[in-house]
Amino acid sequence: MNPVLKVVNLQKFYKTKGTVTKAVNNISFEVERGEYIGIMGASGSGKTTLLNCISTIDHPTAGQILINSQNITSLSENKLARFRREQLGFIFQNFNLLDTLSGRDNIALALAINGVKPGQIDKITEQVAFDLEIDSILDKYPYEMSGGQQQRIACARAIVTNPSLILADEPTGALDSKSAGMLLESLNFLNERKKATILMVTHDAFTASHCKRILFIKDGKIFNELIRGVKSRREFFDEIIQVVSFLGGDKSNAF
Amino acid sequence: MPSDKKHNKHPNNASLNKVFRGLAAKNVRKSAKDYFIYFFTLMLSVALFYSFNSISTQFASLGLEDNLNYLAFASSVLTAFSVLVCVIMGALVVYANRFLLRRRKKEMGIYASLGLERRDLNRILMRETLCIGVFSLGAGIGLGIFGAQILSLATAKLVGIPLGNYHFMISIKGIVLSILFFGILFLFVHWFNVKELKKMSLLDMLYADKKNETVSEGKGGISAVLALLSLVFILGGYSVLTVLSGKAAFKALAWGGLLLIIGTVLFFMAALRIAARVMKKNKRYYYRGINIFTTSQFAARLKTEGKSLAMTCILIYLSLSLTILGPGIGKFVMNGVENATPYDGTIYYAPMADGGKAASDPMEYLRAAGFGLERFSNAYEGFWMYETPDVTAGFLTGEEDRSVHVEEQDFYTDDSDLPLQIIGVDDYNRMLALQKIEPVHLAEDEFAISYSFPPIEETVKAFAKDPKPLNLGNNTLTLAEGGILHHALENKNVLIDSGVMVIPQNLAENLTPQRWILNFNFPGEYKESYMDLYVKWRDAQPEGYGMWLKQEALIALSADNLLMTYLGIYLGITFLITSGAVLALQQLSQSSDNRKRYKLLKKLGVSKKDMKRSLRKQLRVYFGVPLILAVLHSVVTVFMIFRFFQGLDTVVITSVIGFGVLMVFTVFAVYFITTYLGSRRILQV
Repeated sequence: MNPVLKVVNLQKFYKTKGTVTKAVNNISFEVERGEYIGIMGASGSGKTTLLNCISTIDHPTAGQILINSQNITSLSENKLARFRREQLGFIFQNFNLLDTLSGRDNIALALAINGVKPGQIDKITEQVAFDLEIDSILDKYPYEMSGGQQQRIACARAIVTNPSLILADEPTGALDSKSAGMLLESLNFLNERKKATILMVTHDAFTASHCKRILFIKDGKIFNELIRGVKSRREFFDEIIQVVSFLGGDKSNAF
Repeated sequence: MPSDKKHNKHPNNASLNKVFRGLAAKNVRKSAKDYFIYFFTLMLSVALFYSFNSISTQFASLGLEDNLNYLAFASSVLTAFSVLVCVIMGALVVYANRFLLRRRKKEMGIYASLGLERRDLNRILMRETLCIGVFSLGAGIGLGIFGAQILSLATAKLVGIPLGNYHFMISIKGIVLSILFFGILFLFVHWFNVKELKKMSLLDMLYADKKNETVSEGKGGISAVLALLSLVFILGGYSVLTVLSGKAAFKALAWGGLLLIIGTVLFFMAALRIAARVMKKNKRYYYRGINIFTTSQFAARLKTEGKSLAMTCILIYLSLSLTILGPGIGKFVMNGVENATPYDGTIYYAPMADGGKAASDPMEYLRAAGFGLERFSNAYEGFWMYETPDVTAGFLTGEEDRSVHVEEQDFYTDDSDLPLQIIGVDDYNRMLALQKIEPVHLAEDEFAISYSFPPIEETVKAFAKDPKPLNLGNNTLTLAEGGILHHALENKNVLIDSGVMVIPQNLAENLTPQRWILNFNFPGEYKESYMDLYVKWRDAQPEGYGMWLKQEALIALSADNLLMTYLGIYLGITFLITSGAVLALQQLSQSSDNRKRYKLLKKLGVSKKDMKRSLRKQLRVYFGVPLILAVLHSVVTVFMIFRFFQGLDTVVITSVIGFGVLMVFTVFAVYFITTYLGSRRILQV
């Protein structure tokens, strides 16, 4: 089976006042269907730029990104929009919910944009809310919810259209540890039960330890790769910490 | 891939449309407070537009006769200027919309990340523009209909019609024009929105609030040069206004205004740079309270702020000057109107106009052309005005030797080389008799001066205090006792004269005939013979002749007055609400950008009182400095022009200035308060 995501020799350079910053410098990797992959690196390592390129928010300088064998770097603006609504789900660090809409409408909007029949929208929304245990907050507005609740609504919005790939940019970045834990449970649920493919960018080792595979990025290049395999999460976490401290990023302080 | 194509077009437009409708309505309702200034400004401009474009309907409803189309002309000039007003409003609306769009970048980004296409984003914006457009158009026309009633009462008063004639009216033409003009305007707005949206990348939209502005303070040297240049331009503008306004008012206004505008732009470029530097250098000030924050707020936005402050200042200047000068000129045009129409009608003939063909007997020539005045009037008198190169306007003004020629004819040009009009005393007395006024007596070696309108009054009175003898060939005449006469000799539509010399009849008849004037009164009711006379006059089409009937002359005068007054106020208010809205939007958008900074200040333990003070300080500067400079400009402009409105009553001048100032300050205050409250709401302080 083809990989869901295939990144080939991806480059993203910025030019500022004559100097060229190589934010992403020749990165290649693949993500199989059903994978839960994390991308780690210190700030400024290029991980968010990489994610932005994959999520079609930013345009790479060179290289190819294939999602379901479709090269997204050559798509037109309108085709990209269509691609996003059919193939991608987004979870942002700052949630990005529309505060004019209730939780239910935020989720329903994604379905409506995808052209789901109005009669079905309610049913699908209820189902995903039940799965993620957010039915009680469904009719609240974002400003009436806690950060964790907002992020789980955002999760529901990302999964509700059954995208090929869910892209999460520091999803726990703005959450306290309890909310972060609940959110990570939700992501696990999506990955294991719903067979969702998730690509998550984070700098937090605890968050990353939920992934099945982790890519480490340094100065725009892939520096290391860890695979959880059959290891416990604790063991995996220790391994991550080792790499991180080697990279000069986070210090071990979670335990 | 046919199936793909189908999908691309949204197989289920129904659900999406429903979502759009809901979103647009919710967005407008939710951001009603953000939109308030936008809505308020739009509504005001629609109301203004309607009121001034319904003028012709007002005339009709007041029952004004307008045979020579003077009022129609006035109302079409107003409509023509409405195009300018619409362009200004269009620029403002586009600007306002850009500001609102900027605030919603993020929202648009979310839509796009969920997979909405540009087309759909455009549609959401279109719906919102439409929503606001329809509401403001409706409310504006409603307000305009109300405003037009007030305007119509004002019109009645200006034209001198009893208020009893007034009744409620709605102008279909005004409504249609408003909808047409603003409909086009909204189309433009939408087009600009689409363009603006196109420029934003998804990355920009989603991470809109993270962008910092670049801080640039500029070099001290540049600031100094700018400051110097601005001073040169502003003072240059003042002196142009002072010197030139005596000779050519409109030229003075144009050049002086231009210099002032350039100077103002330079001033704000320089002032903001210098102010920020001074405030930062003064450590005792800098570290007191949250001045450190207030100052940086100024410094951070030098470039964009400078531009918008300069624009505001210029707009207020134009607004204040126009609202004062317009009605002022209007009042000046009407000054002395009681002397404008001493007779029911005046016919005049200038030999210069037809090469002197009818000069030997103008009355006979008229008869021959088929116009017999006898049919309409039995009380008429004709006479000649004479001239001689020996007696020029300089004789009265005392500037006889001045040889400066004024290139352009301005509305109060006094060219001292122009020959004065001279009339024989017998002719003069015949004219007075027709007005049932006692005759005057002149000795053989005496002359008198007759004037009709206030502008020359002071000159004549000054002459009377220090009279000079009048030399006519071999004769020398002296000013008669009580020789200053205040009488009108003909119907006129321009209330300016340079004085008429009344001299013994035999002396006058030796001079060069300049103009023949025939005054007449109707025997009974004026209106009956009126139309008939007009038809005859038109049929005869006498070359070189002109006619002013009483009613026509009055309407022509009123139309001039009305046009100047309304044009001044119309453009004035337009500039005013534009400047107010630009400032308000600028400040509100800053406040929304500053939201995070103020939240941070709150967390750092700064009290609400201090934050409010900082906000007020910023707003006071942003609203105050342009206002002060604009007032200064206006004071110079207005007084330099008013200086030459001789004979205008001080009470009238004061009321005109008072009205302008009151209006400008009221509207400006509304914008200031709205902005302050809006900013506080956004910043939650």
